[in-house]
Amino acid sequence: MNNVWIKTKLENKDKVILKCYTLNITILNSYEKDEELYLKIKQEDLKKINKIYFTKFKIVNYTGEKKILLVLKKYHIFFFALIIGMIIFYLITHIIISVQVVHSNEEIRNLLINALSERGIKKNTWKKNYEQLETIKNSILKQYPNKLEWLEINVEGMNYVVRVEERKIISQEKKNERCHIIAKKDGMIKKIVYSIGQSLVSVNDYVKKGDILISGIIKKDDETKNVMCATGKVYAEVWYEASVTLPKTTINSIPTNKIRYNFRIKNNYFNDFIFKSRLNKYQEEEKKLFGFLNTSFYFVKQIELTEEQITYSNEQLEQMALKQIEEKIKSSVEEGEIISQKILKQSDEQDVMKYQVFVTVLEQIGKTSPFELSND
Amino acid sequence: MHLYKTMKNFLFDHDYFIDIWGQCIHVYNFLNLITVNDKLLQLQMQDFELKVTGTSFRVLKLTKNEILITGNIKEMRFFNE
Repeated sequence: MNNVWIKTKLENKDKVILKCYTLNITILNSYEKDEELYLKIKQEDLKKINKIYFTKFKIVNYTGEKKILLVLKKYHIFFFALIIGMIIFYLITHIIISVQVVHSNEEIRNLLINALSERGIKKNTWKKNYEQLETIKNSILKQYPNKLEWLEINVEGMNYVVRVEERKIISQEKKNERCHIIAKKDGMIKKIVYSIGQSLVSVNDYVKKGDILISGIIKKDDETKNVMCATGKVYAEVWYEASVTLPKTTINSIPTNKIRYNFRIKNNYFNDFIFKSRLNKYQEEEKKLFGFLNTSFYFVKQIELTEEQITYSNEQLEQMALKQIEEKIKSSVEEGEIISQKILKQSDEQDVMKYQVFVTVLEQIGKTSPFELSND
Repeated sequence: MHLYKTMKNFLFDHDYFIDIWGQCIHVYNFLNLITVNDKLLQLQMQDFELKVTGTSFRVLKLTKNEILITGNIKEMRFFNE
């Protein structure tokens, strides 16, 4: 309810009150002070009060919404500064400006920074609550069970301080005091490198899977001198047969000269263009303009693509087949390099070509195998 | 609104109220305000005229048919026409 305090000269008091009554003006309160009469009336009665001609009224104060608005208007700079201050305070208490990982090992530090970043713990982001930090901590420990022993994420002001303990695993080789190096594949020995043990094979020897290459039992004149865990690497020529099927034709996307520009907003919940894209098929080149908290703004260049059918020649197909097989072999071999490739067979089938390739690989075939000495 | 009026008529089944407590006098449903000043309050009621005398009278509330006055009440008289 909006009411207003007005004042007039006290000498007209009786006449004013009677006139208020005749004009149907509601008086809500009144008092006298310093030879003046103060009246509290409804705001809608202000027009009626001006009809009292024999005295003049002056508005002293308002109550209700009008009063609030007047106070806001009068002290707007103070309220504006207060709101800005509160926003700044909120940001200061809820934003993280740096993440520090406390550990002497740079590898562990980088590993943790990446793992934390993937989980949203990075600079210029909102502070996470205790439950979220616990969940992140547990998921990181679960992801790297062999590297991390213990992890703690502390919030210190506007920073995250991450303390970590590295897990140190005693190697299996040291634990097994007695072991041989055995062949894990068939092959022809090409190179032997060993520091502990006694080599039982020579270069150009053909070995089968399971054969002992470097023995942990050191013998001299058929007499056992020492028993230890053999360490070393044995490289052998290993042979593979691989097959690959390739299509004779393929549809390739080629960029045209038609370019459109757009903007993109990206954050954890939203990733879309500001303007509607007018190209059907295009490739993008985006450049980050700026980022605020978790949200980033990008300038995107869209280059239109046209589709073109390409028919490969036999030579191209052979090269592609050899390259694919090379990649396949590399991904399956732990330590080794391809020495040679030879196409054994190729068959032309309607839309595809099938290739069968013989591959020679120089590969490390030795692996540690523990053994027990018999009492005999 | 009909329900409200019915309730009001039932609960306030009187033509007027004159309440006096402490230094206050409250009159409800008067017909006309004849005089009001520091020492005198004169009201026209339905069947009579109410005259209240005293000192330091101050209007706390005044509407078309209701008045609340505070002050030192000395005397209250009813005049039948």
